[in-house]
Amino acid sequence: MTTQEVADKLVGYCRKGQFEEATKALYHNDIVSLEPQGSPAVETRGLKAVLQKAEQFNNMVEEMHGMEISDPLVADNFFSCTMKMDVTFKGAPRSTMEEVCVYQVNDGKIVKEEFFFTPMGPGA
Amino acid sequence: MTTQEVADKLTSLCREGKYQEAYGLYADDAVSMEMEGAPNQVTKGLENILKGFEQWASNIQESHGGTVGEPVVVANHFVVPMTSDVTFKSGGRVNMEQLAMYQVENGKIKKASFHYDPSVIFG
Repeated sequence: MTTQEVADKLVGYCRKGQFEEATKALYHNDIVSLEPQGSPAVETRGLKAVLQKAEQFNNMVEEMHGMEISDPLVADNFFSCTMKMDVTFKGAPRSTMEEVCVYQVNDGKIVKEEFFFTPMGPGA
Repeated sequence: MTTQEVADKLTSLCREGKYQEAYGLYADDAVSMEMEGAPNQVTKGLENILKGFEQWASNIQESHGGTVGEPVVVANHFVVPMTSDVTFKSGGRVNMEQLAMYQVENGKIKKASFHYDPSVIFG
């Protein structure tokens, strides 16, 4: 698959809320997942750990009210898309989260993902 | 300046080739990050970032063209797709594409990170 094809597939899965399917179908076993300093999981390595992280996130969610994912921007073996989530986490007020995601593709698989956002401080 | 304003200004200055002015949008304590495998992976401080840019520019024999795409802005980040087609003094002509990611704080670029395949440039 070309980077464009991987990008289109990922965005397609995510728009349907099929995150686990996306991860299993498109991620490399040695995936590296990066989040900003101050996040609970700054660096996660390996498909299994990334799937666990997704499960942990899902467990924190009370209700996902909506999600918006942009069309991907592709440059060589990288692509980027934006995600906006309208979400209520357990025990917290409803909030909007926005982030930019950058993905690196090698041999048709996503080998690195990096999320750019400003982590919420306590009580934010 | 809002993140959108910084993004618009940066892209228009880059399109005009006014790179020195574009660095005026950086904070004094900005951090610039290249890919793993590239020389000078992390550069801290605007002064060092400018030195790095000058060094990069001094290696270029000729710039044949390049593009700076539309910025995509989310909260205090924006990402810009860029291409460049240059011949280095060492001989090779390189066509590269990258995604440039910027983080804005108080109207200044606080962090820049560039996402590309380093083997295209550095072999």
